[in-house]
Amino acid sequence: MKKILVFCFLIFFIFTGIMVAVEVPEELYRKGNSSYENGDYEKAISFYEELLRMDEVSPEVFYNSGNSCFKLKKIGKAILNYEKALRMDPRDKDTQLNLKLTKEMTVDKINTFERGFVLNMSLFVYDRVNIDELSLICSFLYLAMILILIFSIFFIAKRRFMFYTAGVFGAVFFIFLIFLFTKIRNENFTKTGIIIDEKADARSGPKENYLLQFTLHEGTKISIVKEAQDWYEIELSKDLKGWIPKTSIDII
Amino acid sequence: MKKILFLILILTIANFSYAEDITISADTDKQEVTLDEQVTLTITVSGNVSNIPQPDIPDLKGFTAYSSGRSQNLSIINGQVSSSISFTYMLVPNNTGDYTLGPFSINYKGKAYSAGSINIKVLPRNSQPQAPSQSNAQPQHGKELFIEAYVDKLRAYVNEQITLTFAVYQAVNLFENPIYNPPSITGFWAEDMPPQKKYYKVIDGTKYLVTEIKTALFATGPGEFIIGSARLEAAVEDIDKFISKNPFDVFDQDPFSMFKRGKPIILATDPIKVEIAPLPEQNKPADFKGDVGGFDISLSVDKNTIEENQPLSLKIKIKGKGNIKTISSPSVPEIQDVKFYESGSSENISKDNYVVQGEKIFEKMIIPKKARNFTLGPIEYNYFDPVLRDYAQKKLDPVTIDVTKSIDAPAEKTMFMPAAAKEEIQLLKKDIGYIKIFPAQFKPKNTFLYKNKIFVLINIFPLFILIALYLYELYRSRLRTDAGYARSLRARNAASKRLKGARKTVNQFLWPKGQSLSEIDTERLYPTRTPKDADLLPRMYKNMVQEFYTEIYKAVIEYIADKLNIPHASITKDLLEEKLKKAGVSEDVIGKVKMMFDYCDMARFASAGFTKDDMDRTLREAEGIIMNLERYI
Repeated sequence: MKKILVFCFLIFFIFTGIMVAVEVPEELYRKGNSSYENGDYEKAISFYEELLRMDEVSPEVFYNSGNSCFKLKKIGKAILNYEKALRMDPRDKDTQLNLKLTKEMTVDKINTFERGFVLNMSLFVYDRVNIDELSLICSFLYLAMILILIFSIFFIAKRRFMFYTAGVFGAVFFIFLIFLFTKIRNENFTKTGIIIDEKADARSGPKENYLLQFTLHEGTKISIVKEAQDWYEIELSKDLKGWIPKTSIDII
Repeated sequence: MKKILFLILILTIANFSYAEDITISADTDKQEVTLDEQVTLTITVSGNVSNIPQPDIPDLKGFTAYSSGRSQNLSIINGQVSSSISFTYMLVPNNTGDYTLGPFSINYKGKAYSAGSINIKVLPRNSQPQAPSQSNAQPQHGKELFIEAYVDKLRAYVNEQITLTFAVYQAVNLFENPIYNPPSITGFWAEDMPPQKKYYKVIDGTKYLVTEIKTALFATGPGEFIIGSARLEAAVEDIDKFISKNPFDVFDQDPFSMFKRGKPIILATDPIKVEIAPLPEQNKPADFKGDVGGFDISLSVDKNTIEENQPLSLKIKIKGKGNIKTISSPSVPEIQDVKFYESGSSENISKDNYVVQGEKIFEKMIIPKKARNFTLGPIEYNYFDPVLRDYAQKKLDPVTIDVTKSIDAPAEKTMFMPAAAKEEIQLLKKDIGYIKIFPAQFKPKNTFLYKNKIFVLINIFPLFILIALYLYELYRSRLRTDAGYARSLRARNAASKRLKGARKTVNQFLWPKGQSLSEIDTERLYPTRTPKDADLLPRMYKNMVQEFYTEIYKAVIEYIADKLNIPHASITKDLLEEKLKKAGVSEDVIGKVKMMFDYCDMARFASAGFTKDDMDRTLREAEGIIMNLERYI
């Protein structure tokens, strides 16, 4: 009897502990939203950032944070947050629209690589799923292939047909695996940043006294090649590189 | 086979004799022709084929050819079909000289047929010129059909109207509509002037129906120009044939032919030379734009008072006689802070009394940018009057426009803008979407499914299952299909089983150390009550030893047989030796095997001297042999 009582207490404590842990991010999120509604965007941002510090992320938080930044005319930060939200939820129409709108307000015109119709169609799925969904798709295709192969061992009469089916699954799986690796590499291993200062001077070396090559403006997306102390070496295109202070850039 | 060949032969011969009998001939009605006559060229193709192709007409040098139809003649005589087609061409000579027509050829079923060439001499015109070149036309009396072309003036200024009249006089009925080829008029701006004028005129007692086609011409530059000759192709009733020299000729002809088709005639007028004088340089106004004729100018605005930035429509109308289409907009003096936009022009042309006249209206959009009154004009318009042979000027009185201050401050939005001045819509005022307020799903940063160990295990585990199942299936299928393989797999087990059995057999009984079979005192080991048992025990010992060696022998020999896939029944020692050699077993091992067999044989028949240690040694040796063999086979 005593044992059972102790057990019950244990379970109760564990559950309440979890409940408290869940309660806090929800509370912060709600507070942030109500601050936004009252027009106190600075405060809203601080609540959302508190959530991020707690290692609790969700596309909604990034999206709302982006909106708050936009309202404060922090175009760079807004784009940064929308990009982060899109990585987690690539199919969200609101985020796509807001990002497009915000990008129109940036100063720099970067000639991005235009994808043709065929490429666009082939990457239709790639653009619309996040890493976890892509992992699930890969896993499903792979398990289906394995399962069919296992069946083919026992059903000798249908073995040929099953091999072909497994081959199709395998081919699609392979394509999606490439997608997955590309996405992981792009999002987790390639450093992409956004200029968050109104103006950022790109110099030829990691010091103020180096030659000023060009100036970038808030909201421009850049890829980071190297870093040295307080400077990032950024790349816009093959022949446009420069060093920008770390404070001017935020990593996606 | 022969029959078929024969048949084919006959058919080809028949085909040859029947088909491809085409003749072609060409003929002209005369050998000599003057420049104002024409030659009729008739090409006749005849043969016993039904569809005769059109002959190729070579480039007829020195002539202009007009096809004037074809006639077909089909006759069946004694079942032989023969047809002939005549193609008739009218040839009009272009120059004097000797010309050769032809040769003419026809292509039928890949074969070419040709007719010889014809020489024709073209003579200069008859002494009396045929066509009148001016308004004093001299119709050729006595002819039932003739044409003339004339202009109203032979001297004119640049851009002054010249009226070209083409008249057809006819006293006979025409077959079909005549075809009018207008003259070439390079260097002129032409304006057709419908409608055709038709009237009757009596010349020398013959009543002619006259059809006049008029064209207005405006010279584009000074100099001498030639209005080319106009042509008329027509077909007339051929009365000449009836009243020709020999009235009986008629009966030679097909009496219906004249009703079927008229006599084709091609008529041409002489070219007309026109002299175009340049406009005088004297008194030429600075902004003269080349308009010639008599014009009047007027101006209208839609309102006299407007707000700033509001559009005002200005219309300038030029009305008069002359080449309306080429009139360009009169220049309006520029005014500061007032923008002018051309918004198009419209023209209205009439050709009353065969004089090109009408009006052209230029529209301009005027937008005053500042609230300040301004005056339009005075606008001057200059043109050249060919009647007065001097330049004339029309002046418009200035118009004052009152501009008031606009009531709406940013008039930009409501302002009318011409297309060219429009700007791209700026999206600066569009707001972003609202924040998301529904509960969010939180997750720690940088947690991805592919990093989850359970997820990875779930994915890897089935692969191992698959590999395991596959290998097992591979093994099973080998066992199923390959009996030798199955035996060889089983051989080791079977052998060790036998050896184990042998050891068990020995260990069943007590056996004092160092004593041979004959030395064992069974009665001491197993005290018995009955003499029968005492008699039985030594025999049991003996059997046991024999059985042991038999088992050892079988274990080794069957092991080898299984491994080499030889039926147990057919094993002999010699065969084994041979097979082992073939399998690559070393001589040393083979020797040991042979010794083992001999030893077992001996033990079975003379078992009395064997001790327990002997048997244990043999067992170990057998095991050693099998281990050794395992390496080879």
